[in-house]
Amino acid sequence: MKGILITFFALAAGLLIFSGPVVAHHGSQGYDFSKRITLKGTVARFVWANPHCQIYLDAKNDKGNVVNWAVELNNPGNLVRLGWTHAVLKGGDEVTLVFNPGREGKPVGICADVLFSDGRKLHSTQGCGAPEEPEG
Amino acid sequence: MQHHPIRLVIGAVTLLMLSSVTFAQTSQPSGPPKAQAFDPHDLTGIWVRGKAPRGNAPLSGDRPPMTPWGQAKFSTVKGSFTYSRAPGIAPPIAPEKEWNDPMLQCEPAGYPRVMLQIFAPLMRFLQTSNEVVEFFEWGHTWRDIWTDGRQPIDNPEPTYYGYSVGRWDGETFVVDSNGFTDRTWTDPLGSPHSDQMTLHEVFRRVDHDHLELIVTLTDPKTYTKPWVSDKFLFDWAPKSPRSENEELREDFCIYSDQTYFFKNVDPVGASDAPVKNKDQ
Repeated sequence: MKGILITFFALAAGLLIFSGPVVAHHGSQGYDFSKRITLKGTVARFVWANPHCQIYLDAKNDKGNVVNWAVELNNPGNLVRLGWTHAVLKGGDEVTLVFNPGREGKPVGICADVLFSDGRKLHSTQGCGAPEEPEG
Repeated sequence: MQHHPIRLVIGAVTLLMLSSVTFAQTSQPSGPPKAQAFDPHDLTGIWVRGKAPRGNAPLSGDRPPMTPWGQAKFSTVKGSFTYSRAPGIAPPIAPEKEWNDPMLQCEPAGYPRVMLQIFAPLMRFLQTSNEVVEFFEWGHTWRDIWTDGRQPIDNPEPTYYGYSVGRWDGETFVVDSNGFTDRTWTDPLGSPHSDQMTLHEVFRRVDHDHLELIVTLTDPKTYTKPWVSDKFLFDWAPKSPRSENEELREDFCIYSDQTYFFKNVDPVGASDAPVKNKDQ
């Protein structure tokens, strides 16, 4: 009986956690959500616009060639809710990005952390699958 | 008598410390906090949709059966959202290149969809002597809710935000709307509606910080009976949490930005996004 009760409450808790809107985000089939990569580089451009803000980062690959990565973020309004501003990044800034990369070697990314040299950290929930946080 | 500068500084600091202790003691609240006063007939301010469900949701999971006309329209939907609270209410998620959500083409959200989006679930009310104006952040747009005693009109020119007449019934604000274009989706799931759709909305400010809303959608061309929404809950906010400035955010869908994003970032859209297809 006790086991049945525990199973019941576990299922109920699971339902509560996982019920709600499910989003098929554009491009989601093109990202590798099993992998996180870390890149240090120079911001080439920071786009503050709908439908999603974007960081373009120039980073050297293992052969020493510079690759321009395009990393998508939440939209501007939801980034404000997460503590970002339109001026938090600019071209020429040296930062480290941690994100899920594109499949098939495409230099794109999603669900990004931005680490600044002074210890600050910003997070974008876009593509991270956290239903209670502002995604979009 | 001359005072030594150090003694003066010590004295000033001591006074400041004592005065702050006194202030802290006198400002200490006693008992439970008092509810903030409010006027139930005053909806003025910014209201942010609560978390459950926060957005990308239908009016409710209990959508009424559709007429053959509604079913035919719904069968054309190629959407990007499902709703696990009510499995089956949305069609299966379509391949990205087939998505036909009008908002992906930067078309207006319209009402009530503007309140059902995950990214902009807030509005601002402004009350004048003859109308209540409801501003929305998404699209930086508004709707007029006339409160000068006029009656709804038959067959108004179709618009995305409808023609609305409001009145106070006790402590509830009741709004009746018609005149909607049928070009919009009712919600992000693609639930259809026709140009015969009417909305009956009941707003109630329950206390200073909370506003409730229940919407009843009636559209006999699309549904076999009225669709009553969940009770939507909004929290009062001193400013938009989505804007760096005091104003509501200028939250536009800008076609060139949309195209740029799909071409440059989206790993699927880079080759075959619906937005790009429109250019070809």
